[in-house]
Amino acid sequence: MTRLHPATLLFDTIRVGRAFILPAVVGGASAADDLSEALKWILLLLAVPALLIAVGRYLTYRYRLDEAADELIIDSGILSRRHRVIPLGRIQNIEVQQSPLQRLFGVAELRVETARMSARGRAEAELAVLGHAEAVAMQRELRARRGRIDPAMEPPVPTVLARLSPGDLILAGATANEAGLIAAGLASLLQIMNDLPITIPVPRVDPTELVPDPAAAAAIAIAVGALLVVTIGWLLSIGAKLIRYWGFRLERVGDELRTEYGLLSRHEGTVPLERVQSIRLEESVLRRLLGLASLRIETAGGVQDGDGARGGAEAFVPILRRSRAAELARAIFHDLELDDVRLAPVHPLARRRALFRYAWPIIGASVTLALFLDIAWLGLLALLPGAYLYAGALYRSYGYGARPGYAVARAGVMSRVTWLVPDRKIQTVHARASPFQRRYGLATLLLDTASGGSRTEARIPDLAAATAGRLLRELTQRSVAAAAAAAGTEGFRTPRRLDSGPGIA
Amino acid sequence: MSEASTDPGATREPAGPAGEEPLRRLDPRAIAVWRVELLVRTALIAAAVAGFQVVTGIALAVPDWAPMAGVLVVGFALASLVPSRRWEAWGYRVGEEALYLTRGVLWRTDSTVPLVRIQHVDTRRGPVERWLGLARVVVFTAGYRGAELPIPGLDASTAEALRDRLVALSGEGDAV
Repeated sequence: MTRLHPATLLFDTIRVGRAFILPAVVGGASAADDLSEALKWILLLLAVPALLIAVGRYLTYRYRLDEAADELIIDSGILSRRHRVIPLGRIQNIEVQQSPLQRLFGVAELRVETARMSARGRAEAELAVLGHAEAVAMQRELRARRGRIDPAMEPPVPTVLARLSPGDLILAGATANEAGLIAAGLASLLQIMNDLPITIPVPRVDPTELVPDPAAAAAIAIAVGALLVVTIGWLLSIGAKLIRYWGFRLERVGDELRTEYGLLSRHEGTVPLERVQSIRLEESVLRRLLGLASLRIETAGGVQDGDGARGGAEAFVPILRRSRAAELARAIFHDLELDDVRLAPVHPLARRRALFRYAWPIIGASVTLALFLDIAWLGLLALLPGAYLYAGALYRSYGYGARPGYAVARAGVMSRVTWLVPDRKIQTVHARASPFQRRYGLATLLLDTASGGSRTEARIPDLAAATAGRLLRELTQRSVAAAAAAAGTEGFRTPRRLDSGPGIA
Repeated sequence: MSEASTDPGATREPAGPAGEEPLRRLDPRAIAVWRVELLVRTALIAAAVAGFQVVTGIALAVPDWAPMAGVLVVGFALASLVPSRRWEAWGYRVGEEALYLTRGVLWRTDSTVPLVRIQHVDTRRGPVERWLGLARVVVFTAGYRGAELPIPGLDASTAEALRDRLVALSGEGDAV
């Protein structure tokens, strides 16, 4: 059994130390009289337990690749020992990741993920840290053994599927919907700072000097302020994208997808093609106008947060030309034909339902505020025609269709999402109807795959109930047929046929 | 809606997209289980509310016993109205290719679980269920929404039989 790299001592100390910061600060502050004394105490209280734990972990953590049984074995634990066995066949994603500090030391974290979604969002096995070369070699070894490839054989030539230049990333950051969120966050931050007794050394300009009318001056000041916030938020969004996805590259190597990106923290991940559960094409409003999109390749397990997981089991292309999306999808799903896929509309009452969803809060807020504050708040009702138009756009965005072996669905206005789900990856199908939908004979269809998430699951909203029922049966049949076909080719035992035994219900 | 016969083997009319054949109902004792569970939860919440009031000593515009009474009233109302409706709404059927489930009083959900997608099946019994001789079958798939699908309120032996049948029909469970 092998130990981790000695640098683990440093990184574990830091990691554990972070947990001790608060008690250390409190303890140090109470034990000492002046600042330097306090600092010494804090450091002591932080460093000593953290170092002890790190040493303990380093000495007790061992791992081994069992070549005969095709398993990764990890023994860990200081007080209670844990013996973890990971069959290589179950491994979904293998990631080598380096934070800036780790890059400095030439070490890296190796993350091994299986299909099970871990409750705390952590990988099945995290070897932190190994030497970088060691980690990459281990990654290659695990991949080879998982796929029953001879590791001594020459690796297949990679096909580059997507490569992003800094200019592309700037475009990605500039067109992302999150720019709005960042701006909003910034605005609230400024608001909070305003209330704190801290003076910011900002040059004060008296607006009335520029524009004599005080009301106009105030309005202009607000407008300029808002513009500033939006601009800064926008720039931050661009900066974040640049740092996070610097040097982005997506390749297909043999039957795997490999991604690499990151300026400060470096991510290198591999995902076997056959583990891809679905593809999601995401187009924000701005991107749609510019003919751009982002693509998310989902695999089983892993944790999703914001755009692109923190290294979880999925591959994400931050930006690409919409026209290239079909090509990229075909590189992943070889038998996908996307030419003339026509998306059928959903039930027209979907428009009414969307309008209801947006009109009610507007009317409610307007009336409530008008009653309690000022009758002028009824002006909010002017938003209603906008809601009507938005509901119409939403209705038109809903669509679904099928290709041989794949289901396609689309929804969304602000961020339009198109799902491509292979039949063989459909796990369960659900038709859900809220009380409103039931009244109008509608239902929403949900396609469940192994890479789900309530925000991200494939859905077809507001179908006619009969259509939903028909699709439910059809998709189930397709899922079963695809599973049977896959079982046949992979040599798994097919399920026992329904013959005798307890009668069917 | 058809008359709800309380015979455990009774079937209900197929509702919604679940299929052409009638679905099986749950055991009628499930209604009692849900009632007891709701009442227990009501009692706990009422106690928590009362405790909170005592500890923090907040003075309200309403008499002191009002919040707790409110919780009890709401709890009792739910316990008397919801369980029977929930029983009425539930239906399941093991078909040729898939397990069909229908449930939900307000939000109606019809689910299909292709038998080949079933990873494994559990039976579970909470304390109230054990007391009344019932059990739950939980179907596990690799999906997200279908990760754990429970079929509650089954007679214990029916639950075991259903579990065994589902396991047999699911074959080896496919690779994800």
